[in-house]
Amino acid sequence: MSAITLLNPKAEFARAAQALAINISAAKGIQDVMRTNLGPKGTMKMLVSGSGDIKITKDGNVLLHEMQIQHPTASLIARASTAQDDMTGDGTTSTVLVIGELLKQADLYISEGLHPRTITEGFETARLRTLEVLEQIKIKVEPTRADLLNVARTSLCTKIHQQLGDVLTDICVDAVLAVRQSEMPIDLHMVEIMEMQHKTSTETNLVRGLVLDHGSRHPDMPKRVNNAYILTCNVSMEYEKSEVTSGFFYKSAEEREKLVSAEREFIEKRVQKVIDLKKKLCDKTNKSFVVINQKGIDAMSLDMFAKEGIIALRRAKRRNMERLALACGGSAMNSVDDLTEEHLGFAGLVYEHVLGENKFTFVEECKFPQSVTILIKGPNKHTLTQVKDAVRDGLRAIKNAIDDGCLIPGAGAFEIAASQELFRYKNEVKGKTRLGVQAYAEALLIIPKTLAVNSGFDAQDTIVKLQEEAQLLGEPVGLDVNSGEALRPSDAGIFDNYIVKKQIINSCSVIASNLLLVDEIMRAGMSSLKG
Amino acid sequence: MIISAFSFCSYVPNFSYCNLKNEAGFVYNADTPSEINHDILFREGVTSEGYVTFTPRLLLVDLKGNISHLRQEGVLYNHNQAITPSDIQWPAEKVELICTPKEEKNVFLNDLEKEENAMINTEALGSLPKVYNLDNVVNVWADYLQTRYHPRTVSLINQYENNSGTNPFDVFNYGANLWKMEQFQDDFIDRIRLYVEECENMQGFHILVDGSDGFAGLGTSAVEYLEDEYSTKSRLVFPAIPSSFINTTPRQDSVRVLNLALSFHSLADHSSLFVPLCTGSSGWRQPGAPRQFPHLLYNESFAYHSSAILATALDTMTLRYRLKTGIYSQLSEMTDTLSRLGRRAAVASLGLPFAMGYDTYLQDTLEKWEGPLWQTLSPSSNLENDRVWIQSVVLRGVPELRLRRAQRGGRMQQDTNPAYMCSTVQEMLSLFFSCCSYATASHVTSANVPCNVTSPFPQFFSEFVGLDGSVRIERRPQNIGVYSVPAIAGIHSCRSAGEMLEALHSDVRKLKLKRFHNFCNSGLEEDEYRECLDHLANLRECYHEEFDI
Ligand SMILES: Nc1ncnc2c1ncn2[C@@H]1O[C@H](COP(=O)(O)OP(=O)(O)OP(=O)(O)O)[C@@H](O)[C@H]1O
Ligand SMILES: [Mg+2]
Repeated sequence: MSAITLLNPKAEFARAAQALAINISAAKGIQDVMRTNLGPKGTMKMLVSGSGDIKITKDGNVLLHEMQIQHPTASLIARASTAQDDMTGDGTTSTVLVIGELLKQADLYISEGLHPRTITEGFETARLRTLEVLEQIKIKVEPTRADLLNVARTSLCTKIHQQLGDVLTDICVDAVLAVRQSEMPIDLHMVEIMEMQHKTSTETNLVRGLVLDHGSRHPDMPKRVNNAYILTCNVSMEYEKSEVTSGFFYKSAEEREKLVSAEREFIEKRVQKVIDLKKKLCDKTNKSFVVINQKGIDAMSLDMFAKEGIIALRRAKRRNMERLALACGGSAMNSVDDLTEEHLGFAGLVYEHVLGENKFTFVEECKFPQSVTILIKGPNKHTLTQVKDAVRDGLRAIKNAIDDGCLIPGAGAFEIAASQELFRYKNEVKGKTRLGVQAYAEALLIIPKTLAVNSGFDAQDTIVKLQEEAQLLGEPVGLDVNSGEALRPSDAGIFDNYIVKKQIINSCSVIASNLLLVDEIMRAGMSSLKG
Repeated sequence: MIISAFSFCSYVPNFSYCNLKNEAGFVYNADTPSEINHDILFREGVTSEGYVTFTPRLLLVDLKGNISHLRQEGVLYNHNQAITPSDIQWPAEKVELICTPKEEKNVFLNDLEKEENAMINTEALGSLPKVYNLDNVVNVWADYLQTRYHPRTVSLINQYENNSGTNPFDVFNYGANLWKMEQFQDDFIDRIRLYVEECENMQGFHILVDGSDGFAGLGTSAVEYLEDEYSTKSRLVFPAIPSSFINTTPRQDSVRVLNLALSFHSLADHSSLFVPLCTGSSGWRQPGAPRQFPHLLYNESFAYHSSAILATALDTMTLRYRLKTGIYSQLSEMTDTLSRLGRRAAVASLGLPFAMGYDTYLQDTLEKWEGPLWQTLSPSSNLENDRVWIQSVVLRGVPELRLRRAQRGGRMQQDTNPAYMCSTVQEMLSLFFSCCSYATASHVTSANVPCNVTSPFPQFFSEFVGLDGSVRIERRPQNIGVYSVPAIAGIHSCRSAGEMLEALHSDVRKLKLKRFHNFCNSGLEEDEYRECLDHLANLRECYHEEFDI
């Protein structure tokens, strides 16, 4: 990894001027590693570890987590951009590029004798102006399905090939729409993501219900039932030592046996209560009964359930308790006393799927599922991981769009518009500060430039072309990565998230400024990240 | 009833007695049923191709870079399908291959691989197993890993680097914060849950954690989670301290003491019992003088050596509830009785080998024994002349045949010596304890199987230890190694566990939290630190005799 080793020089004490030079070269180094990632035509990276583990990605965030960066400046930039991902789920690559470019542009002026402080003042002025441009350019939407499909496709196609991107776009949008409850913030946890190492990634699908990563542990339990009542509970059905029996040290074997059997009976009664309800509701009907328990169910209890034709699953995920209630109704029970029909959920179909030593249980055909599962398929682990990362990004992008209530035209359109405004605005700014504004305007262009280069077009030509076209049309213009010509992002359906862009503008300005004011570098940089 | 249990030790930074532990007593051979119930620590599985696998129920977290040649997924379930950039669904000219140099494997691993590929033993039948000297080739634990893991086993931390100069994983709160990261926690608790789901009547968890660095925070957070989610299962925790630190500064020493104090603070609340392990005698700021074993010549600066000692102790003392034969016992019985009166911390011991002459018998050996039966393996404590209240001891590798010399007449002697009443190893050892310790409740387990110490176990036995682990007068020939040894190990609730806590408390009390920015900046509040100090002091109080009933 030659480019990456570049980032790991021994950290040494450096004087102010040298330190600035080091900061800038570190920023360039990390920028070089990341620049090829940007956009739908970026480079896919295949990382092979010393032991042969494979990771395939073009996601900036994933890559930064995989790389081991020792240079403090580079790792500061890396952390700023992974923080970007934590907050918004996107924009890591852009963050690294913009920080690097801000420093490069600043360097030109500083080498001519301009004080870094003046530049950072210019950056601050420019940041505020850029945020205003962002407000002007944003397109208010009460996101329709079509809007959401656009934003999801834009995100997904920067991570995976288009054919798969199209499949996942629909899946992600449908998933979010299913779990969206009016007036409530969207909880993406209610979209379960399950992996199945099997078939090809384009066979990934949306299950309108839940897929659990375990199955029944009894050979005689049915493998498939229809019209099933679902009991979701968190009640131990396993005989365990208790206070009394654990003090065995002083007791005879007989006494111990007695205690054990009393304890055992207690568990049996619990199980019997569930069986009684099942008998009442299901016997002599075409209905069946499924128990999904967060706690354990031991062999004897399983046996009791099996005899009644009940499917019983133990040790379900804690989060699935909530998901099950949303997917098939009913509520998660902490006790089986006074159990009635209202407490139960209902699913049209429950079945088990076995894959090697792994079992999956599908709870499907739910009436109004407000929790759903994206079932990711793929022939091997690294494909599964890659698809999962992409799906996560897609879901975040959709949620952001709904939360923001607006979209930003992508394909570099926003950056072109903002830089044009800054070039105009700098003439209103007094004194040398305007040079900082100019540097900022230049730096923003790194996004469309890199998109152009990654698509095989000349950076300068493209910028000129886009700027002219934008001037002419008086509206946002982005790059068509296939033809190298200008396009209207809203026609092409290329949209980015408002919150992502906003966050990029803010964090890049802060980090770049901190790195320029070298004396304060480490402390200032660190603490600004924490907030 | 099938007794199967879930037992796992994870967090094996730099150290890994885990694999040794699983190795040391483990031969999977369907023809010779063994005395040890392997279902307790191992699971049977099947790959997608239908091969049956047998893998330890183990979860392990380490820093990336510490696993060397080991693939995270293991090799059992995913054969190394050679994939090339052209297999990737992306325009070929836009795929960049970034390779880290391939890790070289040592002789031992290469032989192992050959053997596996050929599915036959490379050694001629009947010959002795090959002896490897791995002292100089082992850098990380993966270098002597023989067990194959389930893909679920290994979790890696990418955020920190091994031996990192600028970003070391050396602060308790770094680990605790890592646990709070949703992606890490969700993934890890799923791995736990999947193991638990498989188990019938799980007994509890073994948790092995490096107590002196960031893993302490991660491990104790996991213990806290286990208490919450699996409240009825026992959590036996072994915080371990490496046996040597090279070129450390006083500041780094202080950082380790802080980490240890914070982990004990947490473990005293959330574990069922915790047993600190270290081959050094003091442990806190520095490991201190290495514990001396009469028949071992180990080098404390090799983690490979000291971890083998700890692994043997662990493997031996946990035999109590892992045997198919003998009295049925459960992990919870042991943890409950040993942690009476709030004494959550206990002291470990090991005798390796359990020194018996070739052709001698247990009775004679015990009668002639001089000095302690074992060496203390917990820091700043000493079992010699200690007041032990409760102990659980396991002796392995001494079959009933070796109990006593076949009797020829001499009825007189029989009547006077109660040792002649003992008909099992367990009885005899219990008798021995009742004679030489005052008011100690001892639980004794005996197992026939000795410790298997063939490679990758280090060959650190003195030349007077024979190939069967017996202590002899004549030297062992140069070209022959030691293959198995009897051993004794115990966990003791005793007065010196209190001294151990006191020593830690007095070391940590001297430190001013404010001077350790990395702790303050990663979320440790002054109040919590105070609470930790008070807690240690309170815990120490539990070990005063007056409180005993
Ligand atoms: N079809 C497209 N045509 C042109 N530009 C596009 C297209 N799709 C996305 N983009 C642009 O690509 C950029 C996003 O690229 P990418 O997603 O690779 O990087 P990022 O969002 O900065 O970082 P991350 O790796 O975290 O996603 C945005 O500026 C977006 O407008
Ligand atoms: Mg993106």
